[in-house]
Amino acid sequence: MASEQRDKQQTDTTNEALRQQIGQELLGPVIQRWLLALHQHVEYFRDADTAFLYCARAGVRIERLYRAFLQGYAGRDNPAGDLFWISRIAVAKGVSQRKPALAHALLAREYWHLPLRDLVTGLLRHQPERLRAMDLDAEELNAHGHNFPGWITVKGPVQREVVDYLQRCGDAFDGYVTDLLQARKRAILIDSGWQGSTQSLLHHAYPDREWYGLYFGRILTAHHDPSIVPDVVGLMFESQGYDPAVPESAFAVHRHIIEVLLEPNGPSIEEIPFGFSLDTAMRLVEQNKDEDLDAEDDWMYLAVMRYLDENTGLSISEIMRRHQQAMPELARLILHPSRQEAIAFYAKPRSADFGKSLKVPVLIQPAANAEEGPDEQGSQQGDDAESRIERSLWPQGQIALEYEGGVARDLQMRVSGLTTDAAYFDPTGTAQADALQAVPELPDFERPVVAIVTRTKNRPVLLKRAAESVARQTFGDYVWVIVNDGGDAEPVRQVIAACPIDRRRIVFVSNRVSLGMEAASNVGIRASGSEFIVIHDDDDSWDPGFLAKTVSFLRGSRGRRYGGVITQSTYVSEEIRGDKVIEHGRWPYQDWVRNVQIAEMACGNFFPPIAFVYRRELYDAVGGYNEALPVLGDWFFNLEFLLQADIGVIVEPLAFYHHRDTGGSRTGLYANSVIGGVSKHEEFAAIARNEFLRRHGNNNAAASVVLGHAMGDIRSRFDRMPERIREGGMAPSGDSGGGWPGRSGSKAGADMDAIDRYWVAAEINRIVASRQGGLFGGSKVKPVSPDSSWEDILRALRALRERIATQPNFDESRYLSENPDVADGVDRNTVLCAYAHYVMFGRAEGRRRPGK
Amino acid sequence: MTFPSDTEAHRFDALQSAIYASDDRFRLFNSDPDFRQGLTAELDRLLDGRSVLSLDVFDTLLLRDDSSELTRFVEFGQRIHDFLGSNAAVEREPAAVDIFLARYLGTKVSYRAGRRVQGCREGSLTEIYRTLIRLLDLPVTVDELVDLELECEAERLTPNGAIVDYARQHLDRGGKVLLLTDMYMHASQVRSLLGKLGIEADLTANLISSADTKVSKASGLLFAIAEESLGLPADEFLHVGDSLRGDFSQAIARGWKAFHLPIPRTAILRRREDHLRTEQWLSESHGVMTSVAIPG
Repeated sequence: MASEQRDKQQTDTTNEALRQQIGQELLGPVIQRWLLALHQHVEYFRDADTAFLYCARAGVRIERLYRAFLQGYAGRDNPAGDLFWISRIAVAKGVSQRKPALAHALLAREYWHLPLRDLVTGLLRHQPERLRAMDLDAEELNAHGHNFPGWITVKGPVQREVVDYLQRCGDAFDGYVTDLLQARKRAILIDSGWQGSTQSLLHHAYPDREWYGLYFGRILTAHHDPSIVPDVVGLMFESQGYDPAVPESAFAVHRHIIEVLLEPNGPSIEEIPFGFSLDTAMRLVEQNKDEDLDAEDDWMYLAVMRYLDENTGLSISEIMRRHQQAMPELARLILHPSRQEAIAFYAKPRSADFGKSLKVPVLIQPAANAEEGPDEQGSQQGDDAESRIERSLWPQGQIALEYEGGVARDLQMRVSGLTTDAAYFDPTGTAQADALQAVPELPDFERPVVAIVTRTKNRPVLLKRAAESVARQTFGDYVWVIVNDGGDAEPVRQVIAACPIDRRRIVFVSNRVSLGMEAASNVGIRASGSEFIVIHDDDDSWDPGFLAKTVSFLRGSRGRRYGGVITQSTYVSEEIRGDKVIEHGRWPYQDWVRNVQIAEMACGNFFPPIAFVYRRELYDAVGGYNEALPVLGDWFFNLEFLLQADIGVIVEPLAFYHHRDTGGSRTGLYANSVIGGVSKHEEFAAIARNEFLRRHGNNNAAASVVLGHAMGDIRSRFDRMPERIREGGMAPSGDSGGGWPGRSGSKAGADMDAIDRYWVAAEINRIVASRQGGLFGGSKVKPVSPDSSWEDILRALRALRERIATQPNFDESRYLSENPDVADGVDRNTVLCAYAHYVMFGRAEGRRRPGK
Repeated sequence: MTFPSDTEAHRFDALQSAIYASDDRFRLFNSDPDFRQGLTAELDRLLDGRSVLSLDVFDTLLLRDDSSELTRFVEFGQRIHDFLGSNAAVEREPAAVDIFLARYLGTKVSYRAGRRVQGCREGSLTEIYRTLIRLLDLPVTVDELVDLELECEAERLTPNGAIVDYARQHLDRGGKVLLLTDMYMHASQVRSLLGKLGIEADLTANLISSADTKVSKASGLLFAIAEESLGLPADEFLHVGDSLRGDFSQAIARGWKAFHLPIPRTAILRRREDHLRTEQWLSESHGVMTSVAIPG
């Protein structure tokens, strides 16, 4: 027993010493810096038209801390402004007459999954007589709180009582706001944080005043009000998560330090201190004003107060110096606390507001060492470490209580968003590390990062749009090479003269006689020097983030292994009428692509040039675009490219692949090569394949082309399926490899079985090819013919034991919801996927095939 | 590289590249006859009958030396410290570094919390010094400190001979000259600074600063205000300036003609070195860092 007592004494001593250190060396200097920022803003705004309002409850302590800060500080002794005795629920009540929709939505959100009974009781918990007069056992009050906005409009007895109460609250709140602000036009709310939800209510309810908010930090969630964001000022940080460049943003992952530090030991001010509720509210106010401080629960506040008292009158530079010295260590402590630090940092649980009485634990005592831990209230029967980490308000601290050493540190990194599952096994680093680059170097205009090559010929309307697409890029280190391939040069010059692109980033190459698409690409690429290359044809366009994301990918740890990267694309259907481009629609283009395989490419090209950024060294290795091919040069290039290097995929549609596929634009001047030149594509698909085989006849990968052709042949049978089974509004494939239609499906039940059979056969052959990198050499499973029976196909599929891609028209989610046994199998990894189950078992068992 | 015989390559950046590559733009603009002739010809070509020559002020009409913004701000602190030291009303003047930091805090709050117009905010030198005076509780006026800063600025600025001469020539042939600046100095303060540098008053008669309008060239909104102030449509304006976005891309987007006058690479590199030196001094001598951006 004596030994246990000694241990406890030792633990207490360590805690005390750590807290002393944290308070004096870390929290004190950081809070003092925040108070300097507050003072900076108060002094900026201070005039006769401005009211400063310290929002209860945090405002009670903020005002006291600010007063302590000002002692010995030049100029002012007392904080300017008044305490604003409110809570979010009081303001919701107060503005419910002026802005009922906003107030009711907020109330509903706070009680979303709780019964309406709790909401009503929470609203009126300081109005016992009203509550006694109500039938709180009414069935209707069992409904969830999210029904409140509709429920309140029904004229039932409970509703009448609530409406009457809210009306009186509205009158009282109007009186309170007028009394506080008088004729002043501007109100500055001073509070702990985080996204100005009270400020938003006041802004909308009282638009005749200007409402600003000064908060310790700004953290925006999905529920924030975008209309007030510029006036929601985070004095120490404005961030949704931890940003290593701003150590103060560590508070974004554990804002409860500030909330616990600033929360007085008094009740939430849920009634309005004016009019009918003045007396009730003042009882709540007095408890906050006269709070009793507890050495254990309030150690952070007391330590900071002590620091401010002992360090009055510091110069601005000294306040900033101490803060800048303390903050990185405080951030480390928040993100990677040791067990002892987590225990020392613990103060008291957070109290829930909005009419609720519960306490929310910051840390939860693991059962194994319940005696030394911080909070026994949070423990629950059957708790495990994972659930405690999930429930605690400080997961990094909870992890420190649960685990030790490298395991704890790794988990803390993960919950702080500093690493991901994908990065876990990546020895080259993480995306976060990629983001921490030094100051960017000045651009070298002779060697830009990207060469953008645009081929054009007498299409100034489209070229102008291409110029806008290039100019809009958020990534600016490029050279734009415009290749006029035998067209009139003057309109091109005019487009260049009117474009807002840095003149040092433009090269204009003009061929008096057309050299053809592939030769034009080669001329443009060779007229530039760059690390990366992309073909931006005059009729296509990009999302503004296209270059930023592709370059970042290729230069980042993930992309270094790739020779190039594609993004997903959007197909844009349009026509040209005069000088106008008329858009008819847009939809995802080949959005099934998640990776790029040679065998897949051998079937046909499945991404447009506008989506493909690649390294110049690969262009040199391939030897450029094949100038003998009048069309399909990009497909041939991609095949050659894949013999040299892999292509990564960014699963985000950042490229727009435009097609003049309707009206008079299908042919003639504005035709696409894939629309206007269909017959040419068919003819040259064979020529290109043959040429590729001649070049690489001894190469195993070339065999993929043969196999690819077989796959393409199977897929082309989709094309020959009766028109009646095709989806309405299906996108033309736009495929420049010929023979691969878009992978849309059909809803016609009878023919769907044939489609599935072709699909599975094609998938089997794809897997066979990808496994061996050669013509079926090392695999026991042989490719299957599209005419094979289901029996043969399923035999091959079983032998492969590999997941196949789902036929696009098959609705996996619905199949799983209709067949819980399959869903269970997928969860337990005994079934590969819903589609595999359907083709192997479901169709034979007569289960329904849900289409999209 | 060699092109096929029927292929020609063209560029449009002869002047910009010459400026960017220059090691001494003062010589280029003030005393290189070939460059000046080329610049005049290009501006003539772009003006093409337009009546308004619109000019950016800093690093266009006036050329800054190779000091960084951070260094200049530190110098302002020192200059004010010296001024306060000689002021009998000041009991004990704050340290120069604290004056610099108070100005820095004033700048941050002016840009972050100032009045919004059309969703934009811009800083104001008057607000910056008002906040500084309050933070340090100084018995001086805003105008006194602004004057000190303008004196400091004038020592590090030189009129751009080629641009001043071209503007004079444009006025003389009946055109209008407009000065447009994205700057925390109000128009009256910029005008005062230009006067200190000997720029004649008729060149500064039309001057618009974002500190007054609260919208900027960078946002693209200042160009509309300029058109309104002169009562002329977009196709009457040619704008010249050093900021690719604010002076070139946004002007073109508004339908103006524009000419980009970049800052030389060597000047930017020297400013960066200067910035890093001052940053290091602040860190080693006072243990503080600021978020004043490195020149780019």
